[in-house]
Amino acid sequence: MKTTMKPTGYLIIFISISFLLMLVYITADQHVPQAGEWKAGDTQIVSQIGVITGNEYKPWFEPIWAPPNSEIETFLFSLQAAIGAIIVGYFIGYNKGKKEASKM
Amino acid sequence: MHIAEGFLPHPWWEIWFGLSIPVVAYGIWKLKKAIREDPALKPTLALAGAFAFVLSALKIPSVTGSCSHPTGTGLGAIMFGPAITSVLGSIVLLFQALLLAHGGITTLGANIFSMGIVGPIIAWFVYVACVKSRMNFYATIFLAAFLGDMATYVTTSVQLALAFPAATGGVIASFKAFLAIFSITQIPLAIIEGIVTASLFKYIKDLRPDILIKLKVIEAPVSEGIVQ
Repeated sequence: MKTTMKPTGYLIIFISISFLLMLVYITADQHVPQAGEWKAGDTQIVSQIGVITGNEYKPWFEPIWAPPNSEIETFLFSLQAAIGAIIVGYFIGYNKGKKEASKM
Repeated sequence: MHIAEGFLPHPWWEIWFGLSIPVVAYGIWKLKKAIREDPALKPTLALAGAFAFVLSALKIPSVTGSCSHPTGTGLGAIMFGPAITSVLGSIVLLFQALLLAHGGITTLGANIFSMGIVGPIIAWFVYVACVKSRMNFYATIFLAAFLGDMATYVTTSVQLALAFPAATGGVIASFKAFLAIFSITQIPLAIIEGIVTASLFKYIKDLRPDILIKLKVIEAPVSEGIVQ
């Protein structure tokens, strides 16, 4: 049975598009300090706090441990993605195999 | 793109911890109850957690010249609700804070509040509203994941604006400045998150529709057309 969307559905789509346009509109006149070279947006925050408050902000706490260089950081991010991807892949693969075996 | 270690001064880091801890505690209680009632839910819970793990590890270049990552919490919010998703989000954030120096221990409360609580609440709310309005199933998933992702970064902007009000213009001026960094960067990434989440739901719906029926995400086949 095919059912049509209620008017509230169109209202939700309209609100979502309005929300996006409003975001673009209210931030259009803002100067965003560039992190450069596709660095993480976190680095932009450091300079933005200085621009906004007029004072340079020094973090009051340092990370307990930080990757010693960008290669190790990239490795750890990849490891995180790999752990997740193995589980997602296992779930899909197992269930696909099970479904195909049940067809035989 | 979380708030980095030591970047929230007193009393803000304590306030966000104070708001996040009760929700995560309630989430743990709900999670234990759900597993006790139906141990077969464990693989699906692992899938929701793993999905957040993958997506939040992907630093993707965006239109503003910087990189950010999706959150991946939309899937968990739609399947299990915001409380259980806050636990899954906390695990991801703790991993990143301890091993990657991404986010931080002192800002964990604030990051859980934005990525683990507000994002999933908005995703879940949008999902419920879209289902009630009989929107197409995949459009519903896309919108829920997309707006949940955007809500996360709007919340981060609010948190930073409250902690660092502008010298002229106060919190509002500061909010606009942080929003310019977070929200515009995040728009293309949130679109990607919406598409990926909807794609994964398609796989689950094709392979294990019983899981989605059990979690009340879709209705039983006889009346499936209602939420198609």
